[in-house]
Amino acid sequence: MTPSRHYRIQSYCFNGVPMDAATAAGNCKAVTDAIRDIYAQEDMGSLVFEELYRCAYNLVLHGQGELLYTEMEKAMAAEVEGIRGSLSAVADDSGEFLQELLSKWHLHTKAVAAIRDIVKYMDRMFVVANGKASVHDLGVKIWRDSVVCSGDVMPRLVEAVRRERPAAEEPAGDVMAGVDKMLAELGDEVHRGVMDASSADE
Amino acid sequence: MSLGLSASMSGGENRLETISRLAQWRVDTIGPCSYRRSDAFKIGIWNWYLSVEKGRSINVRLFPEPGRVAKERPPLARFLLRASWAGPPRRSFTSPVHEHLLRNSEDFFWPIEMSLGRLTIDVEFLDLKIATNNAKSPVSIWPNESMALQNIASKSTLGLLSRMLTESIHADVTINTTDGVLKAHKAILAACSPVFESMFLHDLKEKESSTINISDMCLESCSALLGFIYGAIKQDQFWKHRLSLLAAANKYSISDIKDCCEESLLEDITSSNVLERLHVAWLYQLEKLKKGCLTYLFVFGKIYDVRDEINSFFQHADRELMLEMFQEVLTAWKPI
Repeated sequence: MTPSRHYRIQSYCFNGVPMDAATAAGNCKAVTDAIRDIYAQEDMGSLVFEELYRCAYNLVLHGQGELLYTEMEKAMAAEVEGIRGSLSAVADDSGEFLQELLSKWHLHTKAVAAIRDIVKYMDRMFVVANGKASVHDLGVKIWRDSVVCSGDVMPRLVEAVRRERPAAEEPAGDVMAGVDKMLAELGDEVHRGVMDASSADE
Repeated sequence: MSLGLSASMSGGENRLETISRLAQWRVDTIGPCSYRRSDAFKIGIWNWYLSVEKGRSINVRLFPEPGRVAKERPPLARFLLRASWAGPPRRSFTSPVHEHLLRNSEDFFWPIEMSLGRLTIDVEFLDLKIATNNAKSPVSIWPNESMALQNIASKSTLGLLSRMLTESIHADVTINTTDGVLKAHKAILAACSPVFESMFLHDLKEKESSTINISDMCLESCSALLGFIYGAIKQDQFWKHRLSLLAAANKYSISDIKDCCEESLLEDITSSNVLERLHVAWLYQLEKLKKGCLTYLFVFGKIYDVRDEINSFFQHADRELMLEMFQEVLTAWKPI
């Protein structure tokens, strides 16, 4: 064995060894911190896309897709949980509640779109290979399960829709149209559930 | 085709003029034999003849010169004929557009009902193809006009693109590599890579600063990447940077570059690089390259040349990759 050949392979394998735990954790933290900032919409201009993309890309390339996926899901769930909490503080006045719910939904979808692009390589490789929910689908699922279908939001939503619902011949207002669109995105079951419950007689 | 005058062996009687895809033959008299043949004229890859013969009507024939070319590569011609008499009264007939396989003088004739006199016969070829025996559709000997136009257009576009890169014309994004700065265009980067497209879409830093810090590429490799994207890369530059290009193409999801690198890396597998190539193939999911390396190692038995290296390779290689290698061994060494 010639030394140069040995060196070549050694050096190459060095690039290929699974990422060490500290680096992996650091990369993950960069991504989850960014997720927090994106939801907070603070200082987004200081987030560097290339850097975040590279962190996520290297994690997936070096066999850490599972870690990234789990941490990302946790971070997203925590942010959405925070949103649900903030909705409790909104007055029951139906117009205000629906408007706030809708604006948070838009914040959430915008954040999910940005996150999806940052972890695009994970979505393309790890998610497909492991049959996981894509980032977009995960975003919808988290919103459905921990906001719309969670304990206190659902009854308030049904009540608000009942009151805001246009009469049969009237066109729906912007807010109602937005709510309808959101519910449709969450799936037939939720959509029909809310509409049926809100039109049922008390 | 340039203007050509066919030489005449018979004092100009059978002389025929051609320009571009048109041949014109003036027949003053048909003569005592009731038959006359033009001099040969060349259009496409064939030498052609026109002939007229007098029977109950006048038959005009068009056929290629008998010989190897006509036999091996018979013309499939789309053409029309016109016969006109100087008169008076001046008269002319135009044939419908014919499409015929023309191997010899028997394959086609055009009868005209007309008395004799000074006659001019035109033949205009609309298309000429070489007929093939196999199922392949015959190809025109003339470049398809839309194709030619397409070629000119793409060439000029490529020229413009490489000027945009080399002269930084209206460049609107700065790329900081590990050891130098490059200028490029957001629109071009975004059009070739979904990653760059998203980079300028969200309200993150790059959208505002129009600066990308690519800290995992050196200036030379990044230049090669931009060269490829703008269609200005040179062969030796590609060859030198193909591994970096492959890494970048994988990172930024540029499949054309990835495919090119894979093809190129397949071309020079040797025992000193096969393990490195195998690792690269596995890392970037290059199935063809991986198969190539495994075949090289196990089917061609080159595994014995890298015995020492393989130990160190196994210490670091991924379990899945080792499993695949093992499967390959089993397949290659299956007892007959």
